[in-house]
Amino acid sequence: MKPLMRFGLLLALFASPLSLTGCWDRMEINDMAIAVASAIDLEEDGKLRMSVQIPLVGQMGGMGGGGAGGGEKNYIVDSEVGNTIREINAKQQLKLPRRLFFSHRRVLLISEDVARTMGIREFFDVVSRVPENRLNANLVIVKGKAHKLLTMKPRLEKFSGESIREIVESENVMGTTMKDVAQMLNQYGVDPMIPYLATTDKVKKEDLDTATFKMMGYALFRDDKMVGVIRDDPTEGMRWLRQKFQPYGKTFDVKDGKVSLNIYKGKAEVTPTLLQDHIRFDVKVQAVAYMMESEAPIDFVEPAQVRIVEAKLAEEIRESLEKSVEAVQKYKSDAPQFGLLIARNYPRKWQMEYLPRWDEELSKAQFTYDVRVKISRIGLTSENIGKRERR
Amino acid sequence: MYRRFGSKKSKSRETAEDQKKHEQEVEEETKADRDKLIEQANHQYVDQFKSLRITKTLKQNNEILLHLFKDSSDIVLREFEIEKSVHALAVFVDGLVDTAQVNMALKALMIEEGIEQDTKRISFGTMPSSQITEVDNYADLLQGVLSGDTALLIEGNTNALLLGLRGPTLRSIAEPETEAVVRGPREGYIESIRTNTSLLRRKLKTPHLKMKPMVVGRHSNTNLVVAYLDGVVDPATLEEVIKRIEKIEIDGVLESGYIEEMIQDNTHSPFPQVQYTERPDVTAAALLEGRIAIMVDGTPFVLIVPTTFWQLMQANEDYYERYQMATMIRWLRYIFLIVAITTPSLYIAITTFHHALVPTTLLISTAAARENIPFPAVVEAFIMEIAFEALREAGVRLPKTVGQAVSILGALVVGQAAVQAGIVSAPMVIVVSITGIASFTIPRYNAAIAIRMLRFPLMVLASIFGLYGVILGLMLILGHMANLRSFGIPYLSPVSPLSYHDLKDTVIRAPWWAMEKRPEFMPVGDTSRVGKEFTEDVVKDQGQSGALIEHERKQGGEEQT
Repeated sequence: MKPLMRFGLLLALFASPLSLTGCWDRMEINDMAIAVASAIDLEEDGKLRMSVQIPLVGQMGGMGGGGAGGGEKNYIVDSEVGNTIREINAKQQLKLPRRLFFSHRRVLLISEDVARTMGIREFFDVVSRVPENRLNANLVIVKGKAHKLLTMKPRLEKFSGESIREIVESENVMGTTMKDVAQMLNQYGVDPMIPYLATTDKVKKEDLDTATFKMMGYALFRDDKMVGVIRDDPTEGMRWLRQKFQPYGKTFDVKDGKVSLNIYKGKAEVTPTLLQDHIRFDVKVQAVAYMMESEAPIDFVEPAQVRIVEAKLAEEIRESLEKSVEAVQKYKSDAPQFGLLIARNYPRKWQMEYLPRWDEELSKAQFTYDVRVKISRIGLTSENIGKRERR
Repeated sequence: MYRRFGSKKSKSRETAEDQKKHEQEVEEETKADRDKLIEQANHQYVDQFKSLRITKTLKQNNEILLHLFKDSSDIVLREFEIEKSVHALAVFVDGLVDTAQVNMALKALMIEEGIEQDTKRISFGTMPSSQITEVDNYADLLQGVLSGDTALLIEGNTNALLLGLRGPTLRSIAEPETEAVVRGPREGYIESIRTNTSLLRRKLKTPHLKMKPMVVGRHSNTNLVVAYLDGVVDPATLEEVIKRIEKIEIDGVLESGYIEEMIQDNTHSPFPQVQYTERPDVTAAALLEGRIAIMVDGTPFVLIVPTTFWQLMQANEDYYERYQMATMIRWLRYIFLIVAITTPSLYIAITTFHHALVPTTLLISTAAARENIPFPAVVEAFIMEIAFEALREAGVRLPKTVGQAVSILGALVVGQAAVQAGIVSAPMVIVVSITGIASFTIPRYNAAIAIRMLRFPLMVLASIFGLYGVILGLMLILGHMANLRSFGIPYLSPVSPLSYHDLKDTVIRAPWWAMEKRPEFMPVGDTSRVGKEFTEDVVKDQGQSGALIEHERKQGGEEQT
């Protein structure tokens, strides 16, 4: 073939797609409504309400510089009622000039009523069926109405959805993504434990703008239904029992003064032993902490003094472990994955004996604790530098 | 007046009338002769004059030359008489010769020596010129004279002498602008091939450096030199190069680009398969690797074959600077090569198809910037890329003083005003500038052009098929490159086909002592480059150990300790 002809043919080949009407999934950025967070609530008539938080990108600065000035919001929250999530989405789309785009939804808020009455399993269908939904969105349970959190004025971040995400993803929160929860739901011997957020207490309606939300604790589930909430001490114990350590701080009394420590490294081992009529779990904890603050009259230069604090901290940890076990047994929610532990160590026995009556077994299980604590760093000083010298 | 030798005897006997008549006859005869000769001299191209011999009689030669150089004001035909001997004719082109030297040569014949009438005797004994060539046909004569030689035709000889009394070169040797270096020689080729060969000879002072002369171009008769290092070069490749050049038929060769286009393996590829350089050091380095250089008269750009892609990503300074530095710079170039070719298409693909791939905050800020833009991303990208190419081209072509105005206009109008007017978005400007800068990190201009050109089809593909299209386009480009050959050498070697040892000059730039061998992917006659023992010594002692100098600690240091 002549080169010119070949070139012409190639040109025609390259030019021909240009005459096509378009590419089916092509979408310009300025035709999208980017959903950054959504909330699911239960209406009184039993229908679902889904609210979506959409940033108004036009007011986000960009070129003009100023952006949203003063009280103007740079996001909208669109809400709709329906039977299924997709139905709600379709209804919402009728009201929105731009296509709702869910790939950047990083937070899914579910209200406590929904979690307690309906369960959360059904929301996992739409997540995996549509590729736009991402499995690494954070799942959060909200006390009261979930959509309230979306309309709240965010602190530091641009939208409340982003704040929630940052809070839940921070180092010392045991955050759960959709993927984690899905895995917990599809296995026996594990129950989900999901961060539990609530608006700060005692907020008057008129200053809702300044109101905000905080981590309250964790919602415990039994299968896909929420059964209870744990706060403070039991949540600390959970860090150990789940054998996935995440750092946390602890404040307690030693010698008439308060001491704050940060437990930054730790290892926990839970070994199940099958006994005649019950199961015994041996919990072995090794924690390493450093001093954050000390109001107690302790001179940390002396190792003996440090030992006292270590012993006290070990006691505190043991207490928190006991409290978590108590919560687990009370709610019959296997958030620490004890069942999975049995299943892995004694797969046959688990299948034959324990799985059918696991609730019962869990509530009569016995626990032993072995806590070892080491304070590795006492900080830059051994005593308060403002302390008067002895005459 | 001109007389034939044969008519001398009969002169006295004949009457004036007879003589007149005879002269008429002779004149007619010579006229006929002349017409015949001139007819013979009516060739279109210089090399066709091979068949036209230099005749014994000076008059005929004069006639032919007068005919050939009709209306040529720059040709000088200087007839003179050699002292105590025959007539002669000096032919040269005014401006190409060194007039003072021509005068000296004529002086020697006309005043000082003379006597001789045989060209051989003259060139041997009389002519004080170092370069003399004897030619017997008009092709060689014209070639010589038009290249700047002075031809000397002498009555009674079928040979002419070509005196190499060429004039001074046109411009002085300067640093090449296309291949500036921080460290390295500052000399560059100029338009005179003779100067260029001398520059190369300065680098490689060995009899094995061969410079085969050739002539290409039926009208331009451009001198060409094929330079190679005998014993290192692969004879088959050399033969192929010479054969390809011999095959060329064209009226004129004004730049080495003509030759490049006619000898390369794949003319339709956007990738250059022949490297060009303005630097003697680059040429010498190439010859040492077994490559072949083609020098063309009238241009400072020398061609180097065979050429591989990685060679185009390397600058000569890589070899002059410390090797760690050179390695880092090479990697920088590789990264920016990918940036230059893919950034605009990735931007289009991600903003129109794969919004899920970017972090949320980045997507939101991109969306904020694009909020008021009336065009789809691909149109925006095309507007900016074309504007950038136009600015670049305008900057190259215009005189330096105007070029500044262009860059100011470009920066202000395209960069700022277009963004403020809401015609293009700020991220797009960033993408275009990154691409532009990235493409300029490629040291070879022709390779950079290829990369810049390939962006456009990739952008179209990205706008139609998204990332899938980008990958598809890249695969096609890679496949094409893998398919290319430059004089038998695969274009992507030594990476594909892999020759492990050559990666030391591709992936990294190994220090010189570690590059023991010449490139393995090149067929070379002599593989060793660095002495083996030397390398071993350096490796053992981690440098040259001071055998003669004792590294003693200084007195002051001891006192302190």
